[in-house]
Amino acid sequence: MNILIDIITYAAPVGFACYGGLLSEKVGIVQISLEGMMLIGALTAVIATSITGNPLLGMLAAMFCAMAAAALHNLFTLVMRSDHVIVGTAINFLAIGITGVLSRTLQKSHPGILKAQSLPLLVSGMNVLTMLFILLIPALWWLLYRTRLGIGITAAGELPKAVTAAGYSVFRYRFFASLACGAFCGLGGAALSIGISNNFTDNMTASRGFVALALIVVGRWSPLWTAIGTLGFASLDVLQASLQASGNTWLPYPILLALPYILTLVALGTAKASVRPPRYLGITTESQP
Amino acid sequence: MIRNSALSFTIALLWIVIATSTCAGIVMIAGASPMSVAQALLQGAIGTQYNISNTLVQTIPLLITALAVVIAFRAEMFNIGVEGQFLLGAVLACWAGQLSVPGPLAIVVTLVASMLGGALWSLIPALMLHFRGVQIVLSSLIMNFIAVQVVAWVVRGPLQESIREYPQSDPIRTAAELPKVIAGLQLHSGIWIALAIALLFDVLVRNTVFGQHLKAVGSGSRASKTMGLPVSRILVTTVLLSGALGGLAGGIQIAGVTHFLADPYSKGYGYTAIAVALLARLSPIGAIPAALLFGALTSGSSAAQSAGIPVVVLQVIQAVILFSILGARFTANSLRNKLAKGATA
Amino acid sequence: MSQPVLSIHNITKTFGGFVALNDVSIELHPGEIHAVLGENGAGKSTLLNILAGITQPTRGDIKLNGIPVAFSSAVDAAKAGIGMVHQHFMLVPTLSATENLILADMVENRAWFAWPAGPVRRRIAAQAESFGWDIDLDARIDTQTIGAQQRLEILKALQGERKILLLDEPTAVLTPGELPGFFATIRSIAATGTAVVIITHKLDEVVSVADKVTVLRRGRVVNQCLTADTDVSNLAREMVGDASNAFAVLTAVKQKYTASDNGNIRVELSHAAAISGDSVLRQGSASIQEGEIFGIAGVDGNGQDALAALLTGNTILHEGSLTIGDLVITPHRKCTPQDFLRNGVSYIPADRQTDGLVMSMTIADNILLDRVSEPPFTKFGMFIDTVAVKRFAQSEIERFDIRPADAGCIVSTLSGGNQQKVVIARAMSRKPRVLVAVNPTRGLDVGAIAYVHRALRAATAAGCAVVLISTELDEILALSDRIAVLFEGRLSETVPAGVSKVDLGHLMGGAIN
Repeated sequence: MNILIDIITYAAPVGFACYGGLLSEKVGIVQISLEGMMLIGALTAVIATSITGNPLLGMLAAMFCAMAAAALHNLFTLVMRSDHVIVGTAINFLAIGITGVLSRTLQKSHPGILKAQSLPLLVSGMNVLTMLFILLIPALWWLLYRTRLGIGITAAGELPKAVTAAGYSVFRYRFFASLACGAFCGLGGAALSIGISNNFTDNMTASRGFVALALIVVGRWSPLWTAIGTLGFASLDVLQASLQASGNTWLPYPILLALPYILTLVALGTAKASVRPPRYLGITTESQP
Repeated sequence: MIRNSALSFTIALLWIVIATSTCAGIVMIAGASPMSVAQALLQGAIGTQYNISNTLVQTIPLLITALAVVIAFRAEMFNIGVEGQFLLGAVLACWAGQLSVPGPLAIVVTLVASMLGGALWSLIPALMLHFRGVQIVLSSLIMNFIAVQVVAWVVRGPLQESIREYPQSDPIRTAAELPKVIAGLQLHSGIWIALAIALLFDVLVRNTVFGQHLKAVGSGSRASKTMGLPVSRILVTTVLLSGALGGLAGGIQIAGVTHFLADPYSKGYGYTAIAVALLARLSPIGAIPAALLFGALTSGSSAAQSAGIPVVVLQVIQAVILFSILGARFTANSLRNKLAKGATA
Repeated sequence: MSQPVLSIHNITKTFGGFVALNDVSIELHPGEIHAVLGENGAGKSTLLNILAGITQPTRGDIKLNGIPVAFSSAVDAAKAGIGMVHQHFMLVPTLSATENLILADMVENRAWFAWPAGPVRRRIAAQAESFGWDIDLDARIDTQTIGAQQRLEILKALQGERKILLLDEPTAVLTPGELPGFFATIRSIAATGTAVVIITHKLDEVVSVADKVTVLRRGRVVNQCLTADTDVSNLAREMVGDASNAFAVLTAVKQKYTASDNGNIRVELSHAAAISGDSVLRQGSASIQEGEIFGIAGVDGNGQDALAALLTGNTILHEGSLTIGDLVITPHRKCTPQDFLRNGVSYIPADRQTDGLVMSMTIADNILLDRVSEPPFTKFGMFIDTVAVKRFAQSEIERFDIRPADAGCIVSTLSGGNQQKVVIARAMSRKPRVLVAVNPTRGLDVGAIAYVHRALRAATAAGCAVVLISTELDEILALSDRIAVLFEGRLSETVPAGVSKVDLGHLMGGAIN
């Protein structure tokens, strides 16, 4: 049981990024910037928790700052109609740079700010974010498949003009879905920094945001399958960590580290060819009211 | 016509101002003085003979990796995996550079091996695209992460130095090293190779059948397929070419600068190359000044520490440049559209 | 005379410098079926968009039941009781009918988290039953037939208190056999007091079902009258604007052709089956000779794409055999479009902008798209001989009168007619023995249509066998020497040109002769 809790806790950061990314991609926005927004969330969570002493406030701060990055993404993709992948890459650069600069400068002026208390454990060793990760599976399913809002989200990515004809604004759907993605990534980053490690280190997201991207495709843009994929990836992570701790020598360490990625690649390659992304994914060049 | 270029110039200037002010603002928030940072950057880039040489040394991998990104972009593919291809090129160059090969052939063998390494690393994404329709952006991205581990394994295992002390390889033979352009400075003859490739690429795109096919396929039109162009073959070839270029950049880095492989190896050239490619407007000749700019920035930022700002500020500057390019493009396009509408009203 | 439910006065719409509608006025009464007739580019779609609230008029006013209104969006118009059925459906393919209707629903609770699946289904089911339709409400849209999708669109448009129903080219997706049922539906809708506006370019439908007709030409109202007071040839004349009948142009082009047993057979299809994307050819047999135009009629979506793909090397033969030009195709044999092109089979694809041309490249680039890798346009096998390319392009531009006559002109700036000329020039430049043309005059004005038809005839004079796949029955009848019909993927037997439209309609509806 402990191992299961461990796996879920380790899966939560990537899981949040997956949820955010999948909401965003369903309305048609490619989110390469999951990594950057997670990083921003991670740093903000630590700093805010250090200053206020309250991890919950740290969580909220992480959400807001990541949402700010998502708003920047919106400005360039929705308003300026730039290519999503390029904007996402730029945000990732920005995130690495700003978090790097800020973390170092703050370290100098306020030593110890990068160490913060973690989120309190609630039920059976899970903190609030870990629990939220699990609760979101049915919640997101309900939202996407049993509400009017969910239908609008699916329609916005498959046939935007149907959304317009029904009297809704495609722009608004995309704008808010993207902000929600930012919020989720912020939570994911917080789950990493104040949920697992209690500190902030350079590049601590270690490309988890990119892994989330692949998992969304493998999970066919469905909350349930993406969560399962995330848990699978996390299990490999945990397995690798425990093998390392037990002093395993027959499998070289780097290969162990590469294993989750290799398996993700295999999963990508063997996914049914009929799995289609939202038809209007990445296309915001048409006029959108 | 004159109005058009004057307009473009003004827009460019406007966005340069926006970019510079944003950077200055971020520098100030971080507690340093923009003026001294700017001075340090300038000094680090072109202040001394050594620094100029360093700038050029940084430009070389940036130029080649940018060309790799550009050629894929022209076929509407985002090869974000140049980073991994760079690493595999370095690995194979390191191995080939230690082989006993007669004199002048050593460099050739090393560099060809590096191109093979990069191409092989891009082969898997290419095959996944051809057989399964998996987007290059995703598959090559994951290959990057695997590549990092390959390097980590290789320098602790098969290619580790003979004395087995550190996770690094033996140096390559002197015969396999790229000669220096000016004795005493870091600048090596890889620069001639980089420039030659840029020119070759330009000729390729404009005057060859492949270039024409690339243009057709890259436009995204289904007409290429209907008219019998071997679309899949063209795409796969492009990806492999892109990979080979990425690998070559890694090989040149081994043969010209470090001479041995260590973990970690890359400085993120593959990712910076994206910004360079964009700034170059996907033109191979344009990639030369673009790479130079980023090379200067990279070289300059290593001196930034003395002005009180971490070297990581380079990433911020790169991001701001990228955003400014996008913003300038948007401004130019919307102004042009408004003018066109006004003309016909 | 009851008060008009909708009246528009002096409507004018300009886009930049282009006048799409000029001083158009129409009065609609409750229960009236009003046809708006015009050829491509006459302004019908713009008019419909204004009525549906999608665009706003530059000048003029709209009155609903005597009260002036201004619709700022489609939702406004919908709330005011105007429903529209678009030509290209607005149904999200991956959702079910119920889900689509929930999205579009204006009646039930429109809150974010509402899920009025029950009430919506009940309402739609009741309405479908009142029309005698049997529709699956829970299957995904992309698994349903086009006819079913259209019925869903109509149901969608009828939700709420609909005073006015707008239909954009509704019969484009129906077989002649389905038309009577459709007209009956329209009449029963009108009988409930709803006014119906049908946009069309099909003259006989106007006369069959509409009470009144407005004829548009180049954005102006040319005539407005009761359909009882006019006839097809009058309408045709008003639509086209020539003293001569529009069809006279077409029929004059057709020559007498007699199929002879000694004619060289250029295409031989035998029980062929193939698939291309969603389009399926289940069974097709035909023999096409040099010098004839073989027309393949049928409503869109009955296998035309698969047949065209098979004949041009864009898909694999599943069963049966195909002999085309010098190529003998057996099942599962891999063939590329290049093989077909090199063996004398040229292709004019259905959608010139996506399948025929690379819009961002020049006229010269497009004409030589498939030949630039062959001599005499290459130097040393790899490089392009730009001089030879330019010379060839220039000669083709002159031959086909492409305007502007500049080989370096980017194709996206050309008019539809000139773009099609580029496609034809390329197709003919290889001196083909078989020419496959799919909907070659879609979206073109009358002058360009006449040009294309002449070009097809000229091809046969040069000994080419032309396979004309078209969803425009009139075009098939005007041009073909022999005709076959595609229905649900099966090719009917070949009939001679004199066949009546009724008989053809039966074949299109699935009757087996």
